Amino acid sequence: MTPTRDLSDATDQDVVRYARGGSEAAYRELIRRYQRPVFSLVYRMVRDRELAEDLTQETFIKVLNAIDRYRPEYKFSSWIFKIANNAAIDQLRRKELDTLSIHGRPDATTQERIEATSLQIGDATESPLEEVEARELGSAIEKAIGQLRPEYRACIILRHVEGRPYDEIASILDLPLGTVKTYIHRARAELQAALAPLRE
Amino acid sequence: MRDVPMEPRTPAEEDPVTHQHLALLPAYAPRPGLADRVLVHVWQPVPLWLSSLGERGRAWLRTPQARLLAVPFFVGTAVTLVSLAVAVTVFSSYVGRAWRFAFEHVVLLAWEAGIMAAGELWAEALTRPAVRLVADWALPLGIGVTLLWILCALGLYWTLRVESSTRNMLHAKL
Repeated sequence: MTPTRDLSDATDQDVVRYARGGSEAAYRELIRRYQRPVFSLVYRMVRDRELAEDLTQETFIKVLNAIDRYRPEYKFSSWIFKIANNAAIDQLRRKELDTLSIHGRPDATTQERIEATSLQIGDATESPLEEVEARELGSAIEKAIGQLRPEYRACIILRHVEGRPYDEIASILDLPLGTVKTYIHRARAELQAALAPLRE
Repeated sequence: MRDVPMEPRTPAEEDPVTHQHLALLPAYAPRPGLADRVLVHVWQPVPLWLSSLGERGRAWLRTPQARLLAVPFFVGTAVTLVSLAVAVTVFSSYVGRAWRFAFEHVVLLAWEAGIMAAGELWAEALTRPAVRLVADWALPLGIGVTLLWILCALGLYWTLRVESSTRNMLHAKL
């Protein structure tokens, strides 16, 4: 049955239950809740805005089409991140994207393509100097993340950006818990080495 | 009892430096309209590209180029149809033989294979309770609707006939 009340306070499990019942409002609520984290994860994995938007859309289409197969004993966030991560990894396997520039992808030839693939860092309320500094710093950090292996990248983003516990990351990435801890440890070491000049 | 440290700790406690760096990153968001695009794919049976193709096709038909092409297109179609008719008439014996061959060797075999495949599919589908329920009701319902239809037709025919004969009778009397 379609709920008439506001879904913003409902738990994920409740919203999924309504979505299973065919409620369009519930579908919209799931997209509203997860579009930012899913897009952020995918964007940092593939580092191409257009591609990340396509993969995010693909992730939600898969999720909503397969909502009946979701098992409520697991966290919904783990399930959706798993689907998003698999989509990003599949894409990376199909096409290696190993370079990053704040001015867009190197193969971007048109202005539209450069804008679509360039990083959008900084806040409109900042002063021009702060904005430039934020862009440079953000670019350096994004570049350091981009140089990590995709497995390390997914682990570090899920741990430090999304704040997920180790066991959930292991479940999302289909990896043993010990491997996740090792990957995160190595990713931190590589990030610290790459970002050492910024601290000097 | 030993004082065991709590596990897991927060990411910030585990590695403050990395956490501080990653906290500087903005939270990215897709451009607006994602929900609409997703829901169109999930809810609409016709894919987006097909509907956009239809829209583009209709828009193209309104252009001067389309109108310019319309006359040669129709003339060409007419010429082709006439040529085909002539060819069929002239080579009818060959066509007849070819058609019979195709019918015997291709169409009948395909028909047979199709019927068998459909039968197997139907038999498999009947193992599901929901399909069986529909099948159980479909036959009596179909027979019932057909009988009702025949009765209505007969009733209508009878009414019209009676009305007609009554009118004839009245005309005769008057």
